Amino acid sequence: MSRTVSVTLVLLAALAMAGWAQDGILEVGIEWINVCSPCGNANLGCRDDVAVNFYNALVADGYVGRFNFGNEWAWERDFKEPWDSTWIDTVDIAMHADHGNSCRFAFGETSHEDCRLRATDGPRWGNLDLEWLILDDCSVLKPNFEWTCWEDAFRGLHLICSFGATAHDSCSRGTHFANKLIDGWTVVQAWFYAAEQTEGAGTIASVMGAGNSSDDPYNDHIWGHGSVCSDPYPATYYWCTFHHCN
Amino acid sequence: MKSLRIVLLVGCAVGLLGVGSVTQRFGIDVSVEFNLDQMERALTRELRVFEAYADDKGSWVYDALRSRWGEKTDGDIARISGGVFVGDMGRLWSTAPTRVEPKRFSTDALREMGVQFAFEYGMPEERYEVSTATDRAELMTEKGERTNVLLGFNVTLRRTLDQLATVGPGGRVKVFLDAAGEPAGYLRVWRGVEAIGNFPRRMLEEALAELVEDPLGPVIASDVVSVRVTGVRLAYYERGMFDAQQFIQPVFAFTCLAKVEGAREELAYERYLFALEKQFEPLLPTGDRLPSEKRFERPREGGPKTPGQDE
Repeated sequence: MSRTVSVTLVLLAALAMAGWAQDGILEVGIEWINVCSPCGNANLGCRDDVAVNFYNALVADGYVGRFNFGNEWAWERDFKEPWDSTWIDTVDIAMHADHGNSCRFAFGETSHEDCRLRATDGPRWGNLDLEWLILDDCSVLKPNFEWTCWEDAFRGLHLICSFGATAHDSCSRGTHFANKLIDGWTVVQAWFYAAEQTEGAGTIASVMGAGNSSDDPYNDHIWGHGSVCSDPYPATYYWCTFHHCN
Repeated sequence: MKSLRIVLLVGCAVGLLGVGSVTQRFGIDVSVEFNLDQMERALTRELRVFEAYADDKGSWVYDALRSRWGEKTDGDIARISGGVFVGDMGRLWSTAPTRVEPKRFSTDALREMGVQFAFEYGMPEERYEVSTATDRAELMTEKGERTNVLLGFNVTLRRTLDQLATVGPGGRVKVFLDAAGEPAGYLRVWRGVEAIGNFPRRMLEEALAELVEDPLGPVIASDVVSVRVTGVRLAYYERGMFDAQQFIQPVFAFTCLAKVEGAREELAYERYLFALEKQFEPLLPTGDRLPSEKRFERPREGGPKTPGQDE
């Protein structure tokens, strides 16, 4: 009996060292906004489809769905200290779907902080649990090193998946992305695939990562579907990769 | 109706002067920088519509590429369109950015490699246009050194129908080349088509009025201050491989440049709007109304949560 307990403890310790979902639970959370007009953007029809279908696919795969906040319930402050330790940084993978632009993404309600989360707001992601943040918004990771605005947000975070140019409100992207993550593709591969399925010429899918001498998340899979590097923090370098959906 | 009248005034201005401007309801200033009358006269008055059916070569290509690339091959065949995606997942989008310099290829060489591969795997005997694009990574080191790294190449063969290009995620064969120039992935969304007749085009001015009312449409860009509409062309829109599509219809493809708050460079995009008086089906798939969860505040005291704490 004591031997079994010891083996279990060793295994748990090993998983903890490997960063296994930090708290031993595989978790997903989403925030999406179809009603964008309160924050100065046109309303959209498929932001819910993208995020909720992504969420449902991971929950069906065994992930715990921590939160699914839409429209007026999606708040900018959920992505900022200290509130992120209650929300966005308590899950392993999170998705935001609304509008965006260089170094910022939008929300649809104005009473919980403001309408935009900007890199200059000083977000710190991954210091609790978050490994992968999906920002299904235009141009958040723009080329020519504009993406470096997000460097300070990587506090254990592995990857941000987004776009380097304009993208569209495609209903099915979240489903395609989740399916390939579950099939065991890397996060980078699954994101580029999902972009290919839903975009045409002019769109650039992009993924930003942090790395150091021992860890680089480029070939990360999601938990339960392949290898995951330890949290690359403190990072000594950053990269952003761009794929053309021409 | 008020906004339409404003737009029509703009249309007149555009017709006379070639440039007009109107402020849209989200405060986006829209200006048109081409001569509307001239363009209206230049565009074809009637356009064909095509009925689409599933491509029957998809599964053959999938099997052939699986045989070529071996056990790490993965992908999909979409019954609804006959579209296929195949990748050697050991090589496709799998090279971490490093400083190792890969081979460089001329655009002509890339085109030749991609087209040759496409024909080796059953490229339809139809008209197409070829484009290439290079995937790369940008690397920022601890010392602040900036490096560009080539990761791979894309060669896209886009279908043309009646000499008009196809736009959207469909209507193309795409060959993904790795950094060494070897094919590592393949996408084919090439529905069979059959013309069902000629149909009258709607006035360009009418489509432009829609654009002015909603200059971004499904483009998910925030903080757009103004949009310059610099041109328009006719094209056909084809959906992605997992989306049902019964008809392939012509669209106006407006070339737009958006000025974004706080950004130096303008954001380029194309806005697609129906080109015919009659619409056969929606241009883009429509979504469902999916529920959000009720929000509740959770305690954030006491450090990291423990399993079950926030159930």
